[in-house]
Amino acid sequence: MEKQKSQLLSNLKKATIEMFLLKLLSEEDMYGYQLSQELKKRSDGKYTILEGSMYPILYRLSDQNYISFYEKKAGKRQTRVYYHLEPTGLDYFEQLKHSYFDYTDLIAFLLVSKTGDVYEK
Amino acid sequence: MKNNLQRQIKRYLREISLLIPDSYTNKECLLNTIRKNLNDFLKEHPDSSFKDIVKEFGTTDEFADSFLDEFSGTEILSFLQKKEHHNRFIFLTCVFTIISIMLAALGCMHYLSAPLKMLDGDTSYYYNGTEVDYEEFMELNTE
Repeated sequence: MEKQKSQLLSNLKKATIEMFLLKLLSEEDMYGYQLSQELKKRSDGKYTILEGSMYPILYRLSDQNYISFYEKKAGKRQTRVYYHLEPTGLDYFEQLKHSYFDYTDLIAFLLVSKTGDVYEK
Repeated sequence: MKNNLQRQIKRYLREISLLIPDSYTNKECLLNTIRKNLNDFLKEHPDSSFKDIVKEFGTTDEFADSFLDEFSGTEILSFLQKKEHHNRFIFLTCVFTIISIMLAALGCMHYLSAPLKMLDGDTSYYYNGTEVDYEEFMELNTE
């Protein structure tokens, strides 16, 4: 039971990571570590993202020109790579958000539906 | 203790490096970023142990799982195929090199083992260390 629940949560997380990263970047430019810490903070530790997941997504979004990145000095000899959401990325995020709400609306309906019920948007 | 932690971090990064396919174009970038993030974490939490680092960044297995989760089956297959081509190339290069070295060695041995005979008019000179046919040598010395 726990394994199935864990699998469901893992799949849900996998489906939403990209959207949440875009959400944070729509608020302000952030560096990688800051993104993972902010997600963790807002979800009270319930939503954590590992480097192994986050960076391939960020690189893919960058290849698709949805985000760009730049280096900024963060100390005497330290630089940080900040990620910035491009206008095309903002459009993509809005599309993802709408698709997510539509789909979760459908799922919610299906979970309470009975025989003969038909989903209407 | 600090040295021990540094050693553990080095091993952790090395294991992660082995988990990321060489054919992944952003491999170096990813490793450098993880290294930087680890340093950032240690600066913010200077009394952290390696256990704290693993709790924050995940075990190497968790890293591998989360990394592979971000790629489609086709992309993962592409990584494996590239690795296979790479391994095949390395194998063929090694075989070719070994064969070349053996042929070169055989050629050298053949060249060095042949007697060095110099003719100057009617006189034949045989240099020390060269192989000479015994009957021929005796024939020459009794003339």
